[in-house]
Amino acid sequence: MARKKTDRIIEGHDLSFHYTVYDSEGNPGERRTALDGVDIDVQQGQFVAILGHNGSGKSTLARHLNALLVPDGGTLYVDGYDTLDAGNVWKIRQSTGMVFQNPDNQIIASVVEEDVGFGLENQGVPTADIWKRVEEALRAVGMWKMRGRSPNRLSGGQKQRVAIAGVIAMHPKCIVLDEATAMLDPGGRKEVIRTVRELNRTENVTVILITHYMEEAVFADRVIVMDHGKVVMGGTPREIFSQVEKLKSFRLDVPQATLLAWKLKQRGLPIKDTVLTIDELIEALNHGAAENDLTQPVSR
Amino acid sequence: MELQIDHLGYTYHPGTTFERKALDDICLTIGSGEFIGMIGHTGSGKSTLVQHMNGLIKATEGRIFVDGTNIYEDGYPIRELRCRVGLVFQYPEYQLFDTTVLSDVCFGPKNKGLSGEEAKEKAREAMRAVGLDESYEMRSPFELSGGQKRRAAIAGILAMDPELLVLDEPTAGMDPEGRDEILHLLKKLHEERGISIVLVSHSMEDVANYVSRIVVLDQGKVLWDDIPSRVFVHVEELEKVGLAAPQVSYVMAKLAQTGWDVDPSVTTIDAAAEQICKVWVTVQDNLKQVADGVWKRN
Repeated sequence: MARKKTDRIIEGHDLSFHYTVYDSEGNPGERRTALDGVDIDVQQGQFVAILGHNGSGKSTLARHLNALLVPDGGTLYVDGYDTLDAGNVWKIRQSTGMVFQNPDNQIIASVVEEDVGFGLENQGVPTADIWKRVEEALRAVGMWKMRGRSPNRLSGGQKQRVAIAGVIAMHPKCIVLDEATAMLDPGGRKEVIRTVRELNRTENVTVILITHYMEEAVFADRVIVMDHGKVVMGGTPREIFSQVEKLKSFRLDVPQATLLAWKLKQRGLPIKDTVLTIDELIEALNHGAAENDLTQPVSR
Repeated sequence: MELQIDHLGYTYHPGTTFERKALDDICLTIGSGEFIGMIGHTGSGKSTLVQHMNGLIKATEGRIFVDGTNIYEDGYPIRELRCRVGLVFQYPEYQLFDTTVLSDVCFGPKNKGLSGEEAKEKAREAMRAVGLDESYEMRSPFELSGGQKRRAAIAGILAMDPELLVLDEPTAGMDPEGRDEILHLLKKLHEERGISIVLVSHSMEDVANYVSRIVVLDQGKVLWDDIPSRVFVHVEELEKVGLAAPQVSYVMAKLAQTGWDVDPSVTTIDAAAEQICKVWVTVQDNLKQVADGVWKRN
């Protein structure tokens, strides 16, 4: 079907989706709402974080973004293609790639570079091009040196970077990471986040990051909060994380630095804006201290 | 119970080309009533080590003593040890299998040799402990939420009355509130029932908030074994081995560097807020006194 002209990589309107629960005999029973009237718009090149408690609908939404699921109601255009049109599926999957939670479930080949080339082979890309694109992709995630290794000897963070390379090799416009850092150690988490931020900045790849680690969301251009299948909050990380209590009501949290700043502010320290990172907190405190410094005129 | 690990080593596939030393000369004593955190990068040997604690894996070197008795001695009641040391694997909810929550939780105590009624009694008690009331007894474990499933799985272990509970990343993949629920539950079990706990975790913040002692593993060796405040001051070394310190530790370290009179070994938010406020108030008071002085002189 024809592509709709748009600069928005993701354009969803009033999306709804229901899972049907089957009993032990396989008879369809109750229908559970997973998405309920979701509107989502993402510009090409944006970095969007999606937060929400377990069961809030984040992963269901993510699976719509490359047409693994299609909406029961509403419309969703990915890169201008309607996901409801089955003829668009391959174009959509090429423009939007997914990285899942478990590093061991998404690597299939026995050598790193072959794994990264798997998707391209399936598409019938000429061999010479495959090698070129595999090299580009592995260099982009900093795994080129490990190209000949067996994936089962890699750390969790390295495996996820290989999975990301497999997606990048397809030259997608958008990468969706569905809790891709959940099973990693702190070093691995940092590797993955650094890699996707770099891709976002230098290659203008749209990044949709689904995570339970609030400190990973502070790097996003925009944060979306989901609850019971609905989008309940949206804004910049600063706008979102300034609402500590509201986030808690959605079973969420704020980064530790933000929470510490919030507690200090409640105790009367002059911290003006919402703090997102460690460095911002240090600056806010030192700035506050400087304003009260002896070198400044003391107002009485 | 006291579990003493004495120069323990474990090699996977010894004598083959796949030979790999996973644990190397581990010495560790887990005392009665302790709450210990275990951290280490992926592949550092955490999961291998915890599987030694109830005898699931037999060490290739060294010994383990439980209350002074070597568990590798002939005739040691290893089945009994598996009840005394409850091991909760990663993603334990994948191991739920029965048709109702109650019968699933009964599986352990029944295997232990308790009668049907006794097992049910233990199971009910364990379910209450994890916050699943009677209304959950007859429900299928598969229709529970993620956090409830995980708590049901933990109840299955608790029903065996363990003296030491070892949990391998019990909060992985949980939302912040689910994370807190599990951790509060562990804290309660520790405080109210005196169960010793070993918590394996990738979340430095969680470890800092709950445990009284941290064991850091790196490449199969114990790198540090100390109280949180003395472990998390090693920020750079921790990062080198794929770990980190809680954000609070970084904040306090940087404040100390920029001239604040704060203790850089603080690891929890409340303690940090306390310290920063104290310094702030002191500085304010000094400023006020000086300003008053200036005022009077003028």
